[in-house]
Formats: sequence, C-alpha cells, structure tokens
Amino acid sequence: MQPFLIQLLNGVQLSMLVFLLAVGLTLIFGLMNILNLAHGAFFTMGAYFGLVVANNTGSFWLALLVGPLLPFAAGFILQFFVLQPLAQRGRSTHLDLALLTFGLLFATAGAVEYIFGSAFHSIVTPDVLMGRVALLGIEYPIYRLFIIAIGIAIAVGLILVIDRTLVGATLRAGVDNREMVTALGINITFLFALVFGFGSALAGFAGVVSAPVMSIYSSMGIGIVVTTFVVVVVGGLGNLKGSFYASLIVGMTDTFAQAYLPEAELFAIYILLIAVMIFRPQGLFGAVGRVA
Amino acid sequence: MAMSFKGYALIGLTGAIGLAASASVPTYAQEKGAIKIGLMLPYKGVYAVPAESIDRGFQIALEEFGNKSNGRPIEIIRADDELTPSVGVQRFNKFVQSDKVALVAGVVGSNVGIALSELADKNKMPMVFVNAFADEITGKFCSPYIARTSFSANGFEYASGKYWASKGVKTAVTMGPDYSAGRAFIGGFKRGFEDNGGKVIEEIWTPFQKTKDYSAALTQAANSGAQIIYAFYAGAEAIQVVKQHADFGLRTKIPFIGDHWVYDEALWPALGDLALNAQHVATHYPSIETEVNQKFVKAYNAKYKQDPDVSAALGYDNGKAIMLTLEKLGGEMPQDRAKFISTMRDLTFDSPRGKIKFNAQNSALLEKVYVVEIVKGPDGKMQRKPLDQFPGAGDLPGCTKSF
Repeated sequence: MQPFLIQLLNGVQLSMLVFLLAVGLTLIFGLMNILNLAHGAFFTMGAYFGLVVANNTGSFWLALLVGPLLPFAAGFILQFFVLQPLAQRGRSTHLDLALLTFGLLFATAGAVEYIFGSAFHSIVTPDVLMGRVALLGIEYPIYRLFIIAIGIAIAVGLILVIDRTLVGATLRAGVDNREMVTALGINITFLFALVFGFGSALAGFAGVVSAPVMSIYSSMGIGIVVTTFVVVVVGGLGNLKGSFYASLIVGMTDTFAQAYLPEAELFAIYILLIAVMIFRPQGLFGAVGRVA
Repeated sequence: MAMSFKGYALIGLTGAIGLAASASVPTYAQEKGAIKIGLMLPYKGVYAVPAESIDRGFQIALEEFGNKSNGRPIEIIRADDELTPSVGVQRFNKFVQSDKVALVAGVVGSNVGIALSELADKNKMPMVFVNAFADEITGKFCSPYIARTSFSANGFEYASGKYWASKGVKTAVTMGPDYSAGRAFIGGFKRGFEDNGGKVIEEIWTPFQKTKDYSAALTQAANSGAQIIYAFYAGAEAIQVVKQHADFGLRTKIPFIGDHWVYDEALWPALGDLALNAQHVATHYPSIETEVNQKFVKAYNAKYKQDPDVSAALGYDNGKAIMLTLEKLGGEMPQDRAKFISTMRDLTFDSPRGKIKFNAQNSALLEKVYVVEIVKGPDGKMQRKPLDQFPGAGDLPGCTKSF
C-alpha cells in the first residue's frame, strides 16, 4: 500500500509538470491551428533564464517569477512577427509551420549549448520546500507536493478565467469560430500573440519548476515535446479541461508502467496515443470534433 | 524521428565540407603529410560532459609527444556520433572514404561501438576504442583491427561485485540504463556479487536517454528490502538519479553505491553537497599519488584550470596508447593495418590509473580498482579519500577468432 501511494503521488506530480506544458500547446493549437513544435524551446529558455536569475540573486522565487518572462517575450514576438505574417501570406499549412518551429527547437538547443556549454545545471531547492513531510505513513518530498499544488492552482485558475471572464469567452469563441470573432471587432492578431506568449511563459514556468528535481541542460526540451503532444491529442485539441485530465492519464500511465511493468514503459503512452487516434480521434474529451 | 532529421541535416553539411576538403588536397600529400586520426565522440546529449573530458585528455596525451610522431604532425578530425549507431556508422564511413584517416579513436557508447566493430573489421581500419566497455566488443565481435584502451565491463564490475560481497553486503538491488553498456556493467556486478555469496533481489532498468524522473524506479528499489542500491549511470542521468535518491530521504535508508561516473567531478557543481560522503568505486581519481598521475593532473590543470575526471584520464590513455604505438612503428601506418593493433597489444605502459597491459583480444586490463569516499578537503573543496583497493577481473570469454 505504501509504495503504491508514493507511486500515485509520483504520477500526479509528473502529470502536473506535463500539464503546465500541455495547456499552452493546446491553447495555441486550438486557437491558432499551429503545430508548435518549438514549445520545448520555451521550456528550455525558461529554465536557463531562471537559472541565470537564481545564480545572480540567489532567490528561487525570483527565478520562478522572472524566468517565464523571456519565453513570454520570445513567444509573443515569434507569433506576432513571424508566424502570423506567414499565415497571412498563405504559408500556414501544418507542415510549413511545424518545420519552422521544429527548426527553432533545435536552434535553441544549439544556441543554449553555445552560450552555457554542455554541462548540467540545477537550481537549488528553496529552504522552505526542502525536506520531506510525513503523511499516511509515508514520507514524501515537500518540493514534489509543491509541484502538485502549483499544477492544480494553475489548472483551477485557468479554468476560471476561461469559463468566467470576458477574455475567456473571447478565447473560447476564437477556438469555435475565428471569423466571427474578427467580425465582432476584436483584434485577434494581438490576442493570438498574447495567448502564444502566455502559453510559452507557462512552458518556461514549467522549466523553472522542474529545475530543482531534474537537471537543466541544452536538449532538455526536445524529449518532453513528444510527451506533451501525446497529452494534447489525448485530451482533444484546444480543450483545456481535456488536457488536464489527459495529463493525469499520461502521467499515471508513464509512472505506473515504470514501476510495475518496466518493459512496457517506453511504449505505454504511445499505445494510449494510438488507441485514442483509432477510437476517438477528436480526443477523449474533445466535443468539437476537430481532428489533427 | 526528431533525432534522425537533425542527423540527416548534419550529415549533409559535414559531408559537403568533407568533400570540399578532400577535393582540394592532392592525394599524394597524404602519404608524407600529417597522420590523421578520426576522433569520434558523442559531443552532444547525455554524454556530452564525458565526451568533452575525453577529448581534453586525448589532447594532453598528444601534446606530451609535441603533437608529432617521428616528425610527422598528428591531425585530429572530430565527429559526433550522437550516441546513435546509425549516425556513428555514417561518420565512420566519412572518416574512411573522404577524410582518409589512418585510424579511428574514441567512441563512448557501447551501442555505437558494437556497430563500428564490424565495420572496422570489414574496412581493415584500426579502431581504438576509448570507452565502449561492453564485453562483446572484444569478445563476440573481436577483431584484429579492434583494440580498447580502457577495460571491459566485466573487468571492472565483476571485481566490484566480488568486493562488496566480501564486505558483508548480502543483498542488493541494481539500477541501470537499459542499453548495452548498462546491461554489461550491471551484469558484471551481478556475476561477481552472486559468485561470492551475495544476492541481487531485483534488477531495475530505466529507458536510456528517455528517463527524467526516477521516482518510480527509486520507490521500487527502496521497497525491495535490499541492503544497497548498486547503480551505473553517467552524465545527466547520474545527476537526476542521485538527487532524487536524496530527495526521497533514501540516503539513510538504502545507500546508493555507484562508480566514478555516478559521482563524476564534472557533476559535482550540479550535485552540490549531495555528493559528500558518497562511497564509490573508481578506476581513477586525481589524487592518486603516482608520478605519472601527478604529471598528468598538473598538465591538465595547466591547460584547463581544473582537475581531470575519470573520462579525461581514459581519453589520455587512449591518446597515449596510440602515440606509443605510432612511435614504435616509426610514425608510419603499416601496409597491413592489423600490425598497428598487434603492436599496441604488446605495449605495457604506466598510465595515471596504473599499469596498462592488453590481453590476447586487444582489450586493456585493469591493474587495480579503488574504493573511495568523497570528503571535504582542508581547502573546503570536495576531494576523494582512498578507503581500499582491489585488483580488476579478467575479460569474459567469447572471442572465437585467433590473431
């Protein structure tokens, strides 16, 4: 029972980390119809910018706050000045933009390696979150509980914003019917860039949050993009709540496969992906019926 | 898919550069010009740090000879195998066909090493491995064109398993990356441990280069009831697994015993105090008090302003074995290139880690393995304190050829 409980917490913690990445990706795909493979680059950017801030100020909290600003700016600029103009000139097929963002993913890894070298870095866990806490007969690292809490807080916050506010309504409308939103006089170009930047900032935020647990290195963003895409497809494109549940499903599948069926770990989430693509291509939680 | 696209782009680029270079150099110049050594290392990715150290150690060895052999300059041509066998094969072909190297050195990953051993044999191209510890390389895949200057997985880990069993450890759980080297290292430990009365309760394998979070594997290991976790990890993977072991409070519950790659000094900045008081086995550490080692450490410090880690020492051995062999051959690659490797096999020399000798399959043997503890030195910096040492084991049988 105790190991099972620890694995359960491990699964939730991984899910929340993946969720922070997936939510940005799903919003970008749902709203702008862009297959943004550069999402991993923003994850890396956030982690490294956070590292620079942490090294210079010694504060994890400042790193957590400031770290995401660089990916926000980079994401905003990418959408506003590069992707949007390309789309307007008709160069907006999935393949074109996927290739462009794919290149950006590797270019970022290369640039980071050029600046920071190939060594591994880490941000020190803040004192408050050091150590372990005893609950239900087990001991669990406080920092990992903090990751779970942050994931849930951001999920709840986002769902409230999307469901209850004007901005959220505009976004939902944008996903459903983009022309209509433009016709109503909303500056969709600016809104799109803002959402793109916000999604990138969340990816960067995930980079800083994961730093004390995992290490920071140049190609950290490349592997995680694949897992994130599985979540987005399973949850349904552009579906915020769907991506939350899908994160839990994917995170749990991954953790429990690693713990109890290690031979299957490498392909467990891909089997899930294939099953979803065959039986519910719109995603487990997708109601819109949009297909990748 | 992600890696292969990047791979193709790079191959196209390096291929183009290679062609341009070979077109501009007349072929006869290569007879008397520089001796070209192809150095293949995984310069990017999880083993980027050890690769960098090996490259540096290799350069120190060459500089000891003034970068010349019998008056002929040595030219290093580098290639990145990306730790991927298919990429390694393409780079190897480029070395042979367009760079026209005299021999190939380097290679960290055993997966790449196995792919290249067959190719070296077919092309009659001397391949001097620096790492590629998997036993099969000088066993099942042995060849008169292949040598390894470090040691085999069995030579290191069998001895280690035997040592821990003799120290009263009865049960262990093993952890390692699921690929050829991981299997070879942990397999060697298991044989040595169980032949001497120990019992491996559970073997945990994590997907190589894919695992970021080891919490699930560590939880399983902690609940196995074993006395120790014995592990083989390197680079980014080592940092994550050591850190997470500490995060879960397992340091007081079940010690995480590894080798000099798990507790590599290149990782100390990222590990911080977590490396402190860790006990591990090592084939080399900077404070070994031999003249050869102190000379090497001094030269390395002078050039790179830091102590060499074990990979640097292994890179140095690789370069030195090649230079000593060339020296014996008068700075010429013999017509029959197998003679280069057989000359290397007859070498005996003092290296920073001890005396190096080769066995009949051209695999270097381990004279001794050290048991060390990481402690804070008088200057406040971390250093290693020697606790014990034991001799390395022999290689596994498996080579059916005779040469």
